[in-house]
Amino acid sequence: MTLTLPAILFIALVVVLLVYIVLKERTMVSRVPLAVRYAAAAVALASLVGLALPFRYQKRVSQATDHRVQLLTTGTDVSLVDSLKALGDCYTTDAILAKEKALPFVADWQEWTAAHKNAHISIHGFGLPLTRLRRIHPEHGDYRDGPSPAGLLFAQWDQEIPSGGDWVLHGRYRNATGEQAKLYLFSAAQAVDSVILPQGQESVFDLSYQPKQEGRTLLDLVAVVGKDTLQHEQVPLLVKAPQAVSVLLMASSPSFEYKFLYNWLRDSRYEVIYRARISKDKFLYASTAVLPERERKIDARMLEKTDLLVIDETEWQQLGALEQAAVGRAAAKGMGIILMIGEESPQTKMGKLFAWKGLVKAGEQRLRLKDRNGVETRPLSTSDIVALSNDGRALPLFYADGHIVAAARMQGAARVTALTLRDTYSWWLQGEERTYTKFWSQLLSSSLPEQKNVVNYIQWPALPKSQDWARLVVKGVEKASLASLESYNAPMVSDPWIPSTREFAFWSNGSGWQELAVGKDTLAFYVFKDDDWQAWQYSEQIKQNKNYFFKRYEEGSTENSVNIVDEEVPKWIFYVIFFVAVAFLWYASRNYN
Amino acid sequence: MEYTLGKQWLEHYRGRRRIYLLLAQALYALGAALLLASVIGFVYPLPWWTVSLMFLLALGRCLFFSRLWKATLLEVAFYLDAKFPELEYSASLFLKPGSSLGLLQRLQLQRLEERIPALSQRPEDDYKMLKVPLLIALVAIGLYALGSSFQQKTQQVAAERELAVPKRRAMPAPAAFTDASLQIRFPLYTGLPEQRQHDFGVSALKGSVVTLRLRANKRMKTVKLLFNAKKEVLLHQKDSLHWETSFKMEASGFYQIQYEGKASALYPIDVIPDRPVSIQVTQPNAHTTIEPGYPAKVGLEALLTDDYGIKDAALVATTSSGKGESVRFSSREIALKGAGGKQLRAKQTIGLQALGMKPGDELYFYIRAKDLADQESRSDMYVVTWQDTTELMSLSGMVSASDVQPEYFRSQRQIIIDIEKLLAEAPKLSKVVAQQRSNNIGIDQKLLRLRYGQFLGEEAEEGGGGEHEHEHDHGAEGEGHEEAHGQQAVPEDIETLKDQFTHHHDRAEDATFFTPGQKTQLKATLTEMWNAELKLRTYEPQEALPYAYKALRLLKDLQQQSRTYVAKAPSKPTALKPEKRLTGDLVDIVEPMVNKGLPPKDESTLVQQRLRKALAYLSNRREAGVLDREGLALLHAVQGELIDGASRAPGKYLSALKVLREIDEKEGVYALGDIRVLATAIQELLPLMPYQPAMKKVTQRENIYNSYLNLISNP
Repeated sequence: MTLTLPAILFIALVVVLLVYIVLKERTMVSRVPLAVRYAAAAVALASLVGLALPFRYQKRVSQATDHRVQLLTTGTDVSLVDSLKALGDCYTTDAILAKEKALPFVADWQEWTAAHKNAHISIHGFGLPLTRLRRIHPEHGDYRDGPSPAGLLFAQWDQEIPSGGDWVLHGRYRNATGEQAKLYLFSAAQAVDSVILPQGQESVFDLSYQPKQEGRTLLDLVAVVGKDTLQHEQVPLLVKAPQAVSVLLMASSPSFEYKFLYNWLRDSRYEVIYRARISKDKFLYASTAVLPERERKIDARMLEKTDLLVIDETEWQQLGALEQAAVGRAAAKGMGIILMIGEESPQTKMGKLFAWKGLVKAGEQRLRLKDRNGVETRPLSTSDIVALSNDGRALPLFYADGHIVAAARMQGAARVTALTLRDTYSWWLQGEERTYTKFWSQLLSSSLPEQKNVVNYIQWPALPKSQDWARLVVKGVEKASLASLESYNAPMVSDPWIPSTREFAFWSNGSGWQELAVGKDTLAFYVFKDDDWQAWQYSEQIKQNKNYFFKRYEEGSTENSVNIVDEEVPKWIFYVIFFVAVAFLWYASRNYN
Repeated sequence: MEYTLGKQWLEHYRGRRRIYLLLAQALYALGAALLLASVIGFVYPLPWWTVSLMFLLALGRCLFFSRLWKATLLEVAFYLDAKFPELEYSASLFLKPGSSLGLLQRLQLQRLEERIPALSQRPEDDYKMLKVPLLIALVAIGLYALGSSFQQKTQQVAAERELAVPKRRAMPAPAAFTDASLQIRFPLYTGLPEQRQHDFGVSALKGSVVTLRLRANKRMKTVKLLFNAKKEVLLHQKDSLHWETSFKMEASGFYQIQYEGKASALYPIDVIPDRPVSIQVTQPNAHTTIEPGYPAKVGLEALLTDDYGIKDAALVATTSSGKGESVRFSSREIALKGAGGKQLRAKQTIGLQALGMKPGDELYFYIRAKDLADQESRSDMYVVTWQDTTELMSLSGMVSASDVQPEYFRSQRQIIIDIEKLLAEAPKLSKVVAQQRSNNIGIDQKLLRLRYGQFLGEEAEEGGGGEHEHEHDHGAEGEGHEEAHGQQAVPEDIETLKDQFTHHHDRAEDATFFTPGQKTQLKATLTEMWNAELKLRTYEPQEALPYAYKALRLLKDLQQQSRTYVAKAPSKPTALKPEKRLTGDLVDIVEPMVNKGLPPKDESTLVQQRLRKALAYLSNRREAGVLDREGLALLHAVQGELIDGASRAPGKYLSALKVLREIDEKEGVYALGDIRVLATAIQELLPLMPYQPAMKKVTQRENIYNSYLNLISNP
C-alpha cells in the first residue's frame, strides 16, 4: 500500500488521538485493567485506520486454465476467426470485426476484465494499448503474433532545422500489396521527392528536401499504388532562420581562400573579422563591424564574441603565448575551430589531434569530394591533395579520391575541424557558388558550437496525440517558471539530477500546432490526430504487447501455475472490530462511572 | 489416237486469259478503293491500312462476281473459233475424246493441229483488255495523290496555327456583354489567315494585332481594359452599345475588362515568340588547318531552318593576312542561294585563293541569316588556317638559351629540306639513285621517330606506328597498373616480364613528363612521321612532304605549348633605398583596415522572406475555412509578387492571382483547392534557399553528455 499525504496525515491524527486516549484513560477509574483499556483503544483506532485506508494482501489463486478466452483486436487475420472461435470464447475490441463475424464486442474494458479475471486471455491482432494491458496480469494472458501492419511503420526526422538546410526523413514501410508502391513527399501540393517501395516486403527509405518555407509547416507523405492512395500522413517541420554567427579568420598570409570565405560570410550577413599577417607582427584587417585598433588584440574580450575561429597551422604557431592561451580558454568554453593543415606535419597541439598523412597526390587535378553520406560535390580544380588518416578519434567529414580531407573531433567543449584543402574558392571561379556555399555550410555547421541559452524540448511520446496524455521535457530553463499551454498555466516539475531540465505533462484537447510558453520563450510542437500514423502506432503497440507478456515466457512459467493476486481486506472486518472495541470501551466507562 | 495438242493449246489460252482478267479486276479494285479513299479523305484522312483493306474488299467483290473462274474450255473453243477463222469453227473438236471421233472429224483435227503452231506465234492482243482498267486506276491514283497533298497542307496549316495559337480552355466575356468576340490578325509574313474567337484568353504570335469587340446589354459610360493591374486602355465606343479596341501582342501578361465599377475575370495574354533562324553547320569543323600540299579549299555544309521563312542568308568571311602589327583584315559577304523557304541547305566549296588568300593567311567565317520577322541569327565562328611552309621552316620561336633538345626539331626540318632537294634534283638523277636517296631519308625519318618514341616509352625497334602505352594510375587504391601492347613477344626472362608490369621511377627516360594532351599530340606526331617514312621508303617523296610538314607543325606546337604570354607594359619599379634595405625596420608599414560593413538587406531578400512565411502558413491549412488576420496579411504581402509573376508567365501564376482576389473578396473564406493553387504558385516563385551555416540546437535526443560537461565545467 502506498501512503499518500492524506493517508499520512490521517495516521498522524489517529496517533494523536491514541495519545490523548492513553492520557485520558490514566485519569479514569475503572475495574477493567488499564492495559486492557489501552489495548481496546489501540484496536479501535487501528480498525478506524483500516476503515479509512485500503489494506491489500496477496492471495494465491490456482489458475483456471481450462477457461481460455480469445480476444481479437484490430489487425486480426480475418481468415483465422472461425478457427479461433473453435478454441473457446471469442471476443473482440474491433467494432467492424464484431459486426462482420458476429462476435461479442467488448464495450466496457474494466467490466470485461473483471469478469474474466480468472481466464487465460490470448490476444490476437495488433494488440492493446498499454493502459488497457495493465488490467491483465502478464501470467493471465499471452500475445499471439499476427501479420505486421502495412504502411509506414516508422519515421524519423528533425522537427526543427535552420532555413537553407537539407532535411532528411528516414523511415520504414511495409508494402503488403502485390504491386510496387511509390511514396511521395509533398510540399505545398508539389512532389519534392519520391521513392519506390517493392511489393510484398518491408523496406527502408530516405526522403530529402530543402524546404523553401520558413516557420511552422506541414509536409505530406503519400503512398500510392497505381491510382490508389494507400496512406497519407502529415509531417510537421519547423524551419527557423539561423542564429547570427560571429567568425574570426586568421591567416598567416593573405590568400584567395580566406578572401573568398570572408566575402561569402559577409554577403550572408554574418559578423566576420579577417586578419592576415603581412609582415612581422603586422596585419591586414577586414571586418564587417567597426574595429578600433585597441580591439584588434586576440584576447578574451574578442574571443568571447567569437563563435568560430578559422586559422591555419602556420598562423597558430606564430601566435604569442598569451594569444594561444586566450584561444585555448575560448575553445574550452565552446568556441569552434577550423584548422587549415598544409603539406607539413602539424606542430601545434591542435594540429596533432589529427592523424596527418601527408601529400598523397601531387599536381593539378579535378576532384569530386564526397561527404559522409556519399553525396558528391561538383568537380573542384585543385592541386596537391594532403590527407588525414582515419585513426578512429576524428570523424571524417569529406573525402577526395578516397582520402580524408576534412575531419572533426571534440576537444573538451570545442569542436575542432581539420581541413587540408586550400583552394575551394575554385568552385566560385568556375561558377559553382552553390557547391561552395554548401561545402562551407556543412563544414561550419559541424564546427560551430551549440546554441547557448536556448530552450529546447523532447516530446514523449514521439507522436503526441489529441485526447491523450503527453509530456514535454524542456531543457534550458534555469529558473522555475510557469508554463502556459492553451491558456492553461502550470508549474513544471524539475528533474532532481539535472536542474535545467523540467517536465510538463498535459492533456491536449485538439490536434495541430500548439505553443508552450515558458517565460520569454515559446516552444512550438505538433499534436497529431488519433488516427494519424496508424501503422506506426500499431507497430509500437505490437512491441509493447510482446514485451508485456514476455516475462511470462522468460521465467518458463507454465499455463497451470498458481497465480498470485492482490486482494483488499474487506471493510466489514474493520467495522466489526471497531464496534466491538468501542463497545468495550463504552462498557468499561459506563459501569464504573 | 489422241489429239492432245489442241486441248493443250486451249488450256494454255484459258490460263493466260485468266491472268489478264485478274489483272484487270485488280486494277478496277484499286481504282475503286483509291477513288473512295480520296472522297472520304476530304473529310476524314484515312490511314494506309484502311485503303489496303478497301482494295482487298473491292478485289474480292470483283473476283467473286467476275466470270474469271467460270470460263470452260468449250467457251474458250467457241471464242477462238470466232477469233481465228483458220479454225473453221472446229475448235470444239479438240475437247472430244479420240475414240468418239469419226473419220472426217479426225481429218479435220489433223489439219487443225498442223495450224496450231502458226496460230500460237501470232501476236497477242489480250493486253487490250487492260486499257480501260489501267486508265481508271491511273486516274484514281492521281486523284488520291492530289487529295493526300491537300490534306497534308491542311494539317500543316492547322499545326502552324496551333503553334501560333495553342489550345487553351475557353474564357468567355462577362455576362454584361451579349455579344463579344476577338479577332486576331497574325503578322503578314506568316501568311496565316485571320482568326475569330469568343475565348478572351489570348494566345498568339508576337506582333499579332488583337481586336476586341463587345456589345453591351445596356448603355455604359466607359469600358476599359486593365493590363497587368497597371495600365488602362479605354475602349472606343462605336455606338450606344458597341465597344471596340485593338492592341498588339508584345509581351505576356493578363488583362481585365472593367465596366460600370465592375471587373471581369483575369484573362491571360500568352505571347508566342517567333523563333529566329536555326543554323546548323555540319562541315567544316570549328578549326581547320590546310596543310601544305593539300588543296586550298574548304567544303561548307549547313542547314538553316525557320518556322515561317528565311528572308536571306549569307556567309560572312573575314580574311587576315600578315603578322604582328602589319595584320590586314578584309571582309566580304557571300550570299547563300535558296532563301525564301522555311529550309535552306547550303552546300558549297570555299576556295581560299578566290578569297584572295595566300599561304599563311587565316579565314574566319560565320553564317548570318534573317527570318521574315527581320530577326537575325548567326552561327559560331569557324576558322580556317592555311599553313605557310616558310613559317614552319623558320627557326623563330624555337631558338632559346634553354632549348634542351634542339637537334630533334632541326632533324625534322632537315628531313623536309632533304626531301625538297631530292624533288628538285630528281629529274637529273637516275631512278636507282633517287630511290636510294629517298630510302636514306626514310631511314633518317625512322630514327627520328624512334627518338621521339622514347618519350612515350616505346621500345627501340618497334615500327608500324605501334604504340606501347603505360597507364600510370595512382588512384585511391593505388593499384591497377595496366598496359596495352600492340604486338607482344614472349618475354625471355623474368626481368623483361617484370618490366611489363612495373614502373621504374628511377629511370629518367621512362618517367612521364607529359600531360595527357601533350602525349596525344606526340603520338599524332609519331603517326605523321611514320606516314612520311612509309612514303619515303616506298619511293614516293612527293607524297611524303605533307606528312613531314604536318609532323613539323605538331612538334612546333608542342614546343611552344609551355609558353605563357604576358602583356607588354612598361614597368618602373620603385628605386631601392640602400640605407633602409635589410634593416628590418617595419615602422612605416601600415596595417590596412577594410571596413565595408554588412551589405544592406536587399528588397528581393525581404520579398522572399514574405513568400516563405506565406508558404509555411498555407501548408498548415488542411481544410476549407476562413483565414485569420495573420493569414490575410501574409497573402496581401505577397500579392505584388503574384502580379509580377502573372505578368511574366500568366499560364503559371494567373490562376493563383485570381484565387487570391477571390479570397480577398470573400473576406478570407477559402476552399482547400484554393490553398493548393496558391501554395503551388508561391513555391514556383521561390528560388532554392541558399546554404547557410547554423549553430546546432541541442537536438531532440537530449545530449546528456553535454549537460554533464556543462555541469562539471560550470559548477
